[in-house]
Amino acid sequence: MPDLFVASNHKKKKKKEKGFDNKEIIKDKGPEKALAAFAIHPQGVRAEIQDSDEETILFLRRHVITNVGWITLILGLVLVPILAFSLLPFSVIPVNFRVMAVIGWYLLTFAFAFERFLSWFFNIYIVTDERIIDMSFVNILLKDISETKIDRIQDISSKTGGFVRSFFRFGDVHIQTAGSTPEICFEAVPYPSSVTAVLNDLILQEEQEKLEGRVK
Amino acid sequence: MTPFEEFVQNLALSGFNFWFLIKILFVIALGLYLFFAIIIVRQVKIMFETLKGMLDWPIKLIAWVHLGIAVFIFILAFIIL
Repeated sequence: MPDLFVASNHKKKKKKEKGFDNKEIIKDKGPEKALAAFAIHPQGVRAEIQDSDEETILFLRRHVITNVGWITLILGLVLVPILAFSLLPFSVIPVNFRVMAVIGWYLLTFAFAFERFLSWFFNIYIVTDERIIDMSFVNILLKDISETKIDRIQDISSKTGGFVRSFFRFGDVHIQTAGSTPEICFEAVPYPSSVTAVLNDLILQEEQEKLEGRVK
Repeated sequence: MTPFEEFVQNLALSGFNFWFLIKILFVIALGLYLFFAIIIVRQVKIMFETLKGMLDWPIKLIAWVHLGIAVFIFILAFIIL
């Protein structure tokens, strides 16, 4: 007689989709890839404020595709001197000044590109087994680090909207907290629903630890 | 003749070297850029102290090479302008 209802397999499958085993979506983005925007259990990556026994569970930064705007702008800026010298009459300017103007232009273009890259590279979000950390290097001179304990998280929501975000599967994760920072936002991170699932798992674990009296 | 054109003409007649003024401006701008390059090196160092274990040396190398180029161009401006 055929089975009418098999509950156990379905449950297992659902658990795999939600929990930490959701590694198939990031199999090519391991911790060894320093430019990865999404890594589970990255080896060797630590924030200064982490405790020595604190395990890094998620490492996130803005999706790589968010860099397309400024990279396109850089390509345009690289072409400006070539176009300017072919279209405009610069012969009245001495050659040495023209050379220095071009060098100066490319220096500024490089500085802009490097600053944008550093802003992307160091704007990171770390989820550990104890807390979430939001490290923002707004520009080359402004550093802002906010963190909150997992047990202070009150509400998590993720948002993915628009064609590009849906196509490349990235979005924002908003985390309401009871700490001094009322909201921490993981902006434009890959797989926002997976991040939400991981955070929910951590909250449950933390609650379990509290019930069992194993809170650090 | 506008007041500005009159001013420029007076400068030219008084033997004022316009390109010398541009040179000074170039040197000031490159000096500021040199300062910016030093800040980048320091900030990169601070950033890697805050976050350990990611692509440290290539980015530090780029920052130092950038500072070296900024120094070279600052000196070059004195020589060729």
